[in-house]
Amino acid sequence: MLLPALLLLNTAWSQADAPPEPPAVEDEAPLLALPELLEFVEARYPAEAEAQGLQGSVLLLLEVDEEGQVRAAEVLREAGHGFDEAALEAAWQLVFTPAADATGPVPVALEFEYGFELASPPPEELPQELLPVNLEGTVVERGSRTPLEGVPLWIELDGERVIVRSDAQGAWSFRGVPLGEVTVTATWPGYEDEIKTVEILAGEVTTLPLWMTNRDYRENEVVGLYHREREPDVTRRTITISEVRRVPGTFGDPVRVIQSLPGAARPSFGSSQLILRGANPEDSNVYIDGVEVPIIYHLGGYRSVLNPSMISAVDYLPGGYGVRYGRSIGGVVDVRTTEDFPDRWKAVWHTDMLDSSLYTTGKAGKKRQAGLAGGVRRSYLDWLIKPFLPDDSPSIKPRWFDYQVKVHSLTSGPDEFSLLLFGFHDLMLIENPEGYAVGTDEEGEEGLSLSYQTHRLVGAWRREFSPQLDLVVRPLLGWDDTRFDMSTDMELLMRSLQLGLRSELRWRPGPAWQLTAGLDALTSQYDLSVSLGEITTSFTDPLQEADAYSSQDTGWSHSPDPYLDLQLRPLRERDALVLDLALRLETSLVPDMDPLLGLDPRFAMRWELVPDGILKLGTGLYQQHPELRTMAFGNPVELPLERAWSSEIGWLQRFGVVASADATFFYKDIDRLGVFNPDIEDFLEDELYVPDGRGLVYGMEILLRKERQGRLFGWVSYTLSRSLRHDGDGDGSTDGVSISFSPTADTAGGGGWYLYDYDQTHILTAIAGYSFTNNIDLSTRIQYVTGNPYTPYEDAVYHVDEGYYEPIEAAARNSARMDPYFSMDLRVSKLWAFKRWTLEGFVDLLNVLHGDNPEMIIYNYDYTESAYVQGLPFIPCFGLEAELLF
Amino acid sequence: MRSPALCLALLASCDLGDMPQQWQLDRTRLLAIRADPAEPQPGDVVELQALSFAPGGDVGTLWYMCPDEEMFDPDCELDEDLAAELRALDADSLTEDELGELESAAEAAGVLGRDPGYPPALTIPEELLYVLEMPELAEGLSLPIHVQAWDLDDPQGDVEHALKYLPVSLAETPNANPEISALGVAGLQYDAQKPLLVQADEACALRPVPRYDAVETYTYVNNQGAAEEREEELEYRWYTDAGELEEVYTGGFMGDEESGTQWTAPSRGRGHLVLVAADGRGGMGWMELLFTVE
Repeated sequence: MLLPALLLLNTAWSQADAPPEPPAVEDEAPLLALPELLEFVEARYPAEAEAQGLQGSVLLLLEVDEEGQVRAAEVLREAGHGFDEAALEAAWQLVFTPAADATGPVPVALEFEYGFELASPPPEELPQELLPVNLEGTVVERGSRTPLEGVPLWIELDGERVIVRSDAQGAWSFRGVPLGEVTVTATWPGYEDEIKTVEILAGEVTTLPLWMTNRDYRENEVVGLYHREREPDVTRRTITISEVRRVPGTFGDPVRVIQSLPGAARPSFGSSQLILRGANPEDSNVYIDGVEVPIIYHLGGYRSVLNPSMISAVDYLPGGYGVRYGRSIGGVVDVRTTEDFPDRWKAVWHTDMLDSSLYTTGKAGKKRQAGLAGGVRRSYLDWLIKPFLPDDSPSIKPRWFDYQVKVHSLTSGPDEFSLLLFGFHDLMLIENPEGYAVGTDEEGEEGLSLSYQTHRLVGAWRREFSPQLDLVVRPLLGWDDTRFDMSTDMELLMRSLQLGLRSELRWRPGPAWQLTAGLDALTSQYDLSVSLGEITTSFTDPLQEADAYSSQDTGWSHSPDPYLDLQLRPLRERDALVLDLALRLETSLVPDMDPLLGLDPRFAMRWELVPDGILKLGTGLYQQHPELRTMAFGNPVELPLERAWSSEIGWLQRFGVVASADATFFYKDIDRLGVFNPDIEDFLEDELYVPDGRGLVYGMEILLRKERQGRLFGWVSYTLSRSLRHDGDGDGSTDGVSISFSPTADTAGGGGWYLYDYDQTHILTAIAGYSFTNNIDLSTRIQYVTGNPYTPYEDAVYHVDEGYYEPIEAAARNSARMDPYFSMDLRVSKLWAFKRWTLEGFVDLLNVLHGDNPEMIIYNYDYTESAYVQGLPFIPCFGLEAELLF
Repeated sequence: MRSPALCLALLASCDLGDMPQQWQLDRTRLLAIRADPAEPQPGDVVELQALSFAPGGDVGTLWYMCPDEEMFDPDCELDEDLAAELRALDADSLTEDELGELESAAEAAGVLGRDPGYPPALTIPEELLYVLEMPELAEGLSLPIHVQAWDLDDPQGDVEHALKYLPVSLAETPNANPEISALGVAGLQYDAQKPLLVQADEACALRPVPRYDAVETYTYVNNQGAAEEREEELEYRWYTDAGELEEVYTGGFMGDEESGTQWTAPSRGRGHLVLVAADGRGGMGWMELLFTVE
């Protein structure tokens, strides 16, 4: 007989090629309903295989449409002997219930394993009603303890095979098994066979628990580098977790994979910068569940500030985003925390060479009406680094700590609540080397210290008044503390208490349009204290007598930014064309200062011009408060909002269900940037910054992707870009600027334009991963990046009174480049499943080709000689992750 | 962004050791410039003197101060053709007219001197401090003085550029240059007249011995309007053309107890040990020792 087996191995994407839809809920789950098999069609058993007594199983990839019909089928894993053709033939006739997400039925792709098993002779008909059950048990998945339903189990009686199947709880039983030893065999596609022998004793019921080992535990995970594009944002790339955690060089952190996506420039090693489309890192904002946080990476950029297990998705928007996000002229990264809580409590312990973390999640309450998750992490780099430092070197102690707690209501009904508390504290302490006793850190140890900590308490209430009207409200309480101690009389302290409210009311009166009104309000009480000891304030007289300088500033700032978004779907095929017209008011209200106001109009369009081909375009104004550095110290001028007009156009093309290509061209014109005042003489009396800066960014991004269907995944990401700046000392006109990607600055156009510090012409990243059936994963990343620009020096002037050389620039600023960066990384991981827990070991091998990658240039005392500071040598990084189910 | 020290200390690799060190005298260098008086008043005549070094021979110096409105601009430049002509000057090869023409051009460009031949001299303009009132008059202004140095045997070769600020004020207790009495080597004091003999590869502790009045106390009216009594913190800079020094800078904000350093003598030959003292107010002094390895 034929033995069909349906296994939803992957829900790889829900609507990868679908045009944009209304943002139904803010943090939507990929799928609310999975497809179930309604009509099974028995395949013909290949005659040749039957004659040879062969059995097998074929892994298929099926595309199921919104009506549950099979639209496409292909073989992912062949079995040969005619099985593949027979399985394909039958697969076209299968019927499923449609998958659905918050917007209704959606097309999905799923893996379907079609098993062929030779028919056994009819089992011996035992007089069931007369014989008692004397052998019973359960069959569950090893590690997750998930009951396996429908698993066939058999025993041999007098040469005949007796088969039973497990029920929904994984329970099974045999009646009237003869006394003595009997062997129970369980087989199930995707699992290793489980064979156990037990002894049946008179008058006893023998119980036999069976633990089946999944050949690939990770296949049950949601996979993906999503192109959901549900929001009106032109270039939104949503990343979910399981696949990207296997990308080499990420240390298992999904947020770090951003650095392998188009639009993201490579930061220097050890830097936590987020450089999106050539923008100043300070111009890009990072959010956690829509709440802005000052940084997304811990010290050194190795880790994001959230436990990876807490992260459900990462929205990566390098540009062209909607009005929900503001106060930024760069890109946006929004990390979303989990709303998926397992029925059984789970604990995850992760440790590697950088830090250790513990995370637990589950459901609480009598009716399990609340989902809970919490994590804590602490680095120990400060302990590990010490033996590797020379004895006479300053003792460097970087360390970080973070925590997260989330409670989420799981009750049905129109209301939904959640509460998220998270925070982190990073400290870089450089203990005093011999003879340089200069300071005191917060713990009483002498040395330099940089400390910053952030804490946020975020509530969320979501109410669906009707299918046409819903409301989301997110109140926020936050605390930031940054301090830099350099000595007993040199200290910088910034503290900020934040109160915020994010609210969105969405109204969908009909299928053709939707109106969203939102408020993004933030109020801060800031406390800025600067003590610089005795310094000179003159830029022109180094012999000026030094004076003690300190300042303290306390006050409030308010930024209640409202926005309005109108989404139109004018065509009968509603999703074929989506137009988005939006407006956001940027505000900055500080008592005793003139209010800063700016209106940001934005427009976006997505149009499915051909099947599976979507035209995307957008344009809009983006404004932000001047950077903190331009406001903090002694600048009597109120700088206006910095602004950028950003435009982009792109094409997304899907090829079948597993491949896609996405190309985007972007152009951004920036003005009113706060730049250093070239005419300054005394920084206490003169304007330190003036709003004369200009910027120009343009380029192209390409992403070619093979989704993880079957065992292979990968993508190729390429960015071609140019980022220019002008400090206002020329005419500031862009007339002389020609579109060029020459790696040198000779085409910057003159007139004061120069390559920006973060300009990287070519950024090419290729990633490929393969999952073997024995829970071994292998992946690799290859990256090529144009070297960073720098300013060459031709000579130096010796300042006799102060005893140092001041370099003289040989040419225009940033007119030379460092050598390109090239690196190949590998990652190997292996998962072992035990009855109640799993253990995964991994090793990240960074820079396996030993590339001499320059990170920066250092000079000797008089700038006559220079050398590259090289990046990572070949470094292996080991780690373990254990997952325990209670 | 936040962890350059971590980056450098952890994994970055570079080889600073192969690059020339600042204490290493292996090319034409300007090490110090001294004005006398160290803090003149308007109308004073100032004598200027440079401490320089060239591995093979004598050093030429060219001094200038940009005229008129560029007087306080530290970035102003002397016409390079004129500078080259002055560096390569051979007075004997020029006619009197040519020499006069060159001198006029040099004077118009603010050239203060060319040594050898024309020792630098500067008369402080009487009207220099007219823009100031008390108490700024006591603090005064600083005049940037540009100096070029080159190997006299190679006038077309590399040129060392230096910038010296000369404070000009009406201070009641004007600054004076710090004087060095001796240089302590391995517990003994030496001066320019006392030859220094060392063993091959001998490690010696070096210590400056400033004259009793080198560290001055002065009055300063701070930005709160209060008068403060301040004491100078002498910074020392160490140089040698043979052997190895541990540090180039000592003293200063690190304190007097951190004013010494270590020197390892070469295996053979002769050389120079140079100590420069700077008081942070424009005053400078130095001492140079000739040593011989036994």
